[in-house]
This record gives sequence, structure tokens and C-alpha cells, in this order.
Amino acid sequence: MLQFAEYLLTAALIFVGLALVTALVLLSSRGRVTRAKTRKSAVTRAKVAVGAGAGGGVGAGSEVHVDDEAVNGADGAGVVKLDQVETMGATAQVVDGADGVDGVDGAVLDAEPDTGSSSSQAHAGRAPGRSVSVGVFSTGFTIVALILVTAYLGVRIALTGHGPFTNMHEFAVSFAWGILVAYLVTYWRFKLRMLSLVVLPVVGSLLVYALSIDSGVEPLVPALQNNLLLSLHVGFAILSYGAACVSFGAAIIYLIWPKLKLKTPRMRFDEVGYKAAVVAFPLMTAMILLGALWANIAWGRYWGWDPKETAALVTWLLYAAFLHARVVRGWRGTKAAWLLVIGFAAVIFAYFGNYFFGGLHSYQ
Amino acid sequence: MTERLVDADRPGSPERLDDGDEPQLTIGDFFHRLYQVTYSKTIGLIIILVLAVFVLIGVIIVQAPAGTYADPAQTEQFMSQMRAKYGGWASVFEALGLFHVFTSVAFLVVVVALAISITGCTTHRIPQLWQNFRHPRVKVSDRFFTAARYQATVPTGLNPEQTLQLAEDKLKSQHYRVIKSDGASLYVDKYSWGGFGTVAAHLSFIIILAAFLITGLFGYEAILNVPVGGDGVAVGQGTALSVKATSFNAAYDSNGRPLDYVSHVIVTDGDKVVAEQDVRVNEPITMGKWAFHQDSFGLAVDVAVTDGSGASVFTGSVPQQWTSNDGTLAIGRFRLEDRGVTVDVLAAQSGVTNSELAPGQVAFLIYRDGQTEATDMNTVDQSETVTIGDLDFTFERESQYTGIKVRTDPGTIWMWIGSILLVSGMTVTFTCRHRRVWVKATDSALLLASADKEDSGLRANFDEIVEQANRWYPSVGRSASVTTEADDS
Repeated sequence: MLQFAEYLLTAALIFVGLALVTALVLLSSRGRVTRAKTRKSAVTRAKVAVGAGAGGGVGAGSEVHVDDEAVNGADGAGVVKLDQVETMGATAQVVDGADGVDGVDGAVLDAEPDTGSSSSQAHAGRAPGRSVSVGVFSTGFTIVALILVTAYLGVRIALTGHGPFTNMHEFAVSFAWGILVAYLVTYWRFKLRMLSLVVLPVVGSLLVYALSIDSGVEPLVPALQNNLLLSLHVGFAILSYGAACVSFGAAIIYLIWPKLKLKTPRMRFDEVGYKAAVVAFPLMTAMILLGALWANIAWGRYWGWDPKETAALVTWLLYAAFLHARVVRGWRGTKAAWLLVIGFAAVIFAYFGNYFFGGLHSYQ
Repeated sequence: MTERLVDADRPGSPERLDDGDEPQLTIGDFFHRLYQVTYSKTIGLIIILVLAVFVLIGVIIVQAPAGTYADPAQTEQFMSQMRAKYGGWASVFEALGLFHVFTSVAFLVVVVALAISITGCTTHRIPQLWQNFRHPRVKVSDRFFTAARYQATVPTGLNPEQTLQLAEDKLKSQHYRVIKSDGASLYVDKYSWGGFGTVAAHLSFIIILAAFLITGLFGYEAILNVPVGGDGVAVGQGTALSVKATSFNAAYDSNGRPLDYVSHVIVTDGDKVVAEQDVRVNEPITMGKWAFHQDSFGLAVDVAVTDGSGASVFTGSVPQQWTSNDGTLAIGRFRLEDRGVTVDVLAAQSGVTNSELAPGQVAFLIYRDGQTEATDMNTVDQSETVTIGDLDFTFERESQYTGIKVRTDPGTIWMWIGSILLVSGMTVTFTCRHRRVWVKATDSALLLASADKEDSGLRANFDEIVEQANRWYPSVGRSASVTTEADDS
């Protein structure tokens, strides 16, 4: 049964890979389309200029709209008929409004690469073209991966009778699950698919790691035999770390944004990084406090400077510093992004601490 | 020089400030400056980061177990382990106090500084929060409606009074606090008390630090090595409590992985049994302010000591709770107070084949008061007696002991109070953010503006109000124009 369940995990890894490849294709196509758009834009400007000369009545404003339409993916010929010019202003405005401000850049990115000719239609809310489905596939692959990981964890829960948090294999898979959930919630809320470029490699790495270590079902050691607190304490850790990974992803995209040439405003990633940290921080607090509560029951003290709980405190302090720096010092942009990167490094440090910390959390 | 003196004598001259080469500070100014330091956000941030560095060091570098530095022998044993681990750096770490970071003076100074900083920041912020809560700024200039971060114009087709009245009614129905600033303007807000969440969260941190302090000062814990099936062990601390274990069981799976540690424990108060249960790692006895936890277990040696006349001097089970440096011997100790003698009982460590002692054999080492070396030593097999000095030592049998941690901690309750306050404060801070909108009615339009920080949540809230406002005045049939700073960027 367990062996069969591990196929689910392998399949999940494949789907994560597919989602990542799709996102990379979208990104690389975006650069290609941007260059193509630049060429088309020049062509269109030339044609409009010719038309203006012939018709003698097209104003500068109209020319700008025509240009915008062309930039956002003119049709195959790259020619805009003069009789459409008057009606295009509204379309161009919709595109401008949608671009980044409403967070639909992911859709824009998805729409562009596959069939450049239909992207203007997608922007204008007309008939969605094939190109849109490429982006849908990326999200779809991620959702399938989440379903598979959930199913795998469900099988383990059914087999063991407790939460899948008792060894590094289970915790790695749960961590991956938490990241996928946090990413999809963030995507649903902000529509920033580019986060997957950072988040999915982390998920993939965790799944590879989980598949490479002992995945056998073992009985709980005495200290972990508290189903309620085990589920709550580690459950909060997983959700918190998942949100922290998303904030890390947003920070990385923010830092490399100039190289990616994304349409989404850079500060959008700054804000999403902050929002994810705002979610991660209270969850992390709950995790630590529930850990203290449990330690008080199991070990007879609520805090003992055990290496892993201390590492969690370091992480918590870093996120506290980030939030304070942002709220009271107005830290945004690069400085804030680096703090989030350091914060997630602390998360990873605390997570893998079992291997070199020792202490009471050494459940491998 | 002369010129300077002349200038200095002139009232109002800048040089007069240099009199005495120091600025003149009153006592009040001094304390005010000091107070400013306590609520400096920059200093607070630096303290948090310094604390993080300290804690990080405590994670990376092995920390000495509690009580190590109180015993020179334990200190030396710990340091020999550290020298093996860190080489020459061990002495450097030791000199810097890095093996006991969390009890170092520097760490305590940082923690106290953090507590002062939090207190200063919170105290400084309360008047501002109170002002926003009770007396918000309700009047803004007309220019504000065209210069604010979030702004919108909703066509109404009504006169200003009708426009404003409708807006007031609708916003009140959505649980906004509505304050009229003048005949044509409103100030509306929601969650004006949300900022107090940060006060609660910061206050909670002080309470948690206080809990640590209370635990350190007034808490008590000890490990009672209770012989299984033997006599009870007194808790002490001015109580008549005693802990007795009637059984202990350690269960393992086929791979040697532990499954369960359970002691059947009876707690008596004088002669009265006040608690009795199977104590497991996650199932301690809690009894009033006292708690009894399963902590450890091990082998014990049952020993009887008599004097030359056959009178009993000592009978009991001696827990083998220490291990020799080379790991081959288990060591227990008991004291014969009347004789001024301490006795170490040595046995082969379980599973060790190269021990000096054979299984089923123990050695008695006698330390007389004032002597640092053992004065006598003898080895004996089970059920046999050996005479050392004027005492007869009998190794009766091997048995077990269970380590029960007994604890009372008045800081714990404050820890939970602080924790609840922390979670509550954070929840309020992050979910109930203060939202403010200024509203102005003109001849045929409703102007809305907000100066809140750039944030998608606040922006969405503002957009929602504008969208609703469009529906309040349906007869006009036109949409509002909304402008935010984000659009411009």
C-alpha cells in the first residue's frame, strides 16, 4: 500500500516539474514576444502614419491607441484598419488598467506567448484563444500536484493513525504540501504566476528529498504521542513555512525583476512578499506557542533553549524584524526583499536542523 | 580670540551656545532625550536583530547543560568534550561565554534592552492611537481630495445635503463610524481600535519576558530518581510530599525504537495518597501547583550497609545516573551523613563489553569528607558482602529507577496569559486594520479620498466603497472615476 502511495508522490513530482516547465516556457516566450511586439509596433506606426496621410483625419491620440493595440499583440498582419481606430481607445484603456494594477499580469503573460495574434482579444475580454490555456495548464499541473500530495498524505494518515509529521520524510512532504497550498491561495488572490518560478523548485526539491530518504511507517516515539498537539504544532509550522516560502518567492522575483522584464509592477511582488509574511508570522507565533504548551506537558518546561525551538525563535525574530522594519521604518524594495530571503533561509535552517542540532527535536 | 570673546558676550550670538563647551540640558530635557531613545524604532530594530544573532549563536554552538558551571568536575568534562569538537576554538568560545549564551550577562542586557524598547515604543504610541480612536482628524482641505493616495469622484445628480445624507446612512449601515466635519463633509472609519492590537502584542512580549523571570526566580524543578518498588523519595521544599514508583516499563519495537516509557507513580502527602497514575511522557501528574513528569530511567543497585555490630546504616536503591568519561562504567552515589562518608557505586555500563567490571559485579569507592581521592575501594558480586573500613557493604541485587521531574512554576500561568494576548493582539493587528475615508459632497458629486498606506487590501476596501457609492446614486447612470497612486505608477 505504501509503495503504491509513493507512486502518487512521484506523480506529484512530475506534475510540479510540468508546471515549472510551463512557467519557464511562458517566461522565455514573453521575452520573444516582447521583441516581436517591438518590431510590430514599428510596423504599425509606419502603417498608421501612411493611413493618416491618406485619410488625412487621424489624430495623434488615435495613433497612440492603435499603437497600444499593436503592442499588445496585433493580428497576424500587424495591420489595424483605419475604421477601427475610433473604437479602439476603450480597448487600449482596458489593457492598461488590467496590466498589473489588477494583478492579472499572469494572464497577460500566459496569453502572450502561445499565439500572439489572439492576445489582444484576450486582453479585451473577447474570445479566449488557445494561448490562455497554456497558463491554465500551468496552474492545473500545480493543482494536480497538490491533489496527489494530499492523497499521499491521506494514505499515510490512514496507515499510521496520526498526522504525517513524525519523521523527515513525512515532514518534507507536508512542507511541500504547505507550500503548494500557500502558493495556490496566493495565486488565487493575486494572480502572480511568476512566483511559481521560485516556489515550485522548492517544492520539487522537497519531494525529491522526501523520496530519497527512508519513508517507512514507524511508531511514534513517546514524546510525540500527543495527536492533538502534534497536529496543531506541526500543522501551523507547515502552513507558516509554506507562506514564508511564498514570501521568499516574491522577494526573489522582486530582486531579479529587472532581468525578467515582467509587465507586473515590481512593487507588486514587494507587496505580495509582505502579505505572505503577514500570514506566515502569526502562524509561526502560533506554532511556537503551541510548541511551548506541548513542551510544558511532555518535558515539564515551556521553554528550554532546545536547538530546534531556538532556531524557530531566530526565524520568528527575523520575521518580526522584517515587519517592524517595514511598518515603522518604511523598508520596502530591495532591503525588505533581502530580509525575506534571510527569513526563509532561517526557516530552512530550522527545518534541517535535526541533522546537526541534536537536542530533543531529533526525530529523524 | 578677542573677537570671539566679544561675540560671545553679545546676546543671541551663536558662540554663546559654546559656553562651557557643552549644551545646557535640564533634568527634564535629559529624561526626555532618554525617553526618545527608548522609543526609537531604529534602536528597537537593531536590538531585535542583535537578539536574533545571540539566539543564532546559541543554536550553532553547543550549549552547556543547566548546572554544568556550578560543578567544576562537570565543567571540565563538558570542556573536554568541546575541545574534541571545536579544537582550539573551544577556549575562545569559553572565554567569550558562548557555551552559555542564554545565561550570559550580555544576553540578559539585550533582553532587558528589548523590554525597555518595547515598553518605550508602546507607551509612546498609545496617545497617538488614542487620538485616532477618540479624536481623529476629521477635517481635510479641498486639495486633499485631488492629492490623496486614493481618491474618487462619484456623480450623484443630487444637491450636497442629499448626497451627504445618503452617504452617511449607507456607510453607517455598514458599521462605519461616521463623523460630520462640517455641513458638506464626513469622516468615516472602521476598526479605529485596531491599532490597540499592536499594544496588546507588545505588552504580551513584556509579560512573556516577565514569565521567564518569574520562572527563573521562583520556579523549582528537580529530578527525583525513584527506585522502582522501593521507598518513596521526598519532594522537600517545605512539603510532606513524597513520590513512590511501583513499576516502570520501557517498551521498544523490533528495531529498538522506543514506544513507551511508563511509571506507575504514587504521590503521598504525609501518609495520605494524593495522586496515583501511570505517568508517561505526555501524561504527567498535575496536582495543584505541582507537576510530576516522566523524565528518565535507568539501572539501580540495591545496597545494604551495616556497622560492625550488624546495625543498619543504609538500605536503599542507588540509581546509576552518571557515566564515566570513557563510557564503560555506570556510576551511582549515596551519602552516609553520620559517618562523614560519600560512597560511589560503580557497575558495568549496560551493553559495554570492555568494562573493568564484569556484569553482576559492582565496586564501592569510599570518599571521606575532606578527601578528594577515594580512600578505599572494593569489588563485590551480587548477594555478597564486603567489609570496607568498619562498615559491611552488601550488593543485594540490580534493580531499576525511574527519573520523575517534579516541578512548580508560577511563571507558567503568565506565559499563557502573554501567549493569549500575543495571538489576540496579532489577530487584531493583522485583520482589523484601521480604514479611513474622507467624504465631501459637491453640487453633483461625492468626493472620496483616503491617505492610507499603499496596500492592495486597503485599496480594495476603498474601491469597494466607491463601487457601492456608484449604486447609491443609480439615477445618474455613470461610473465613478477612481484614481489611485498605484495607477499612476
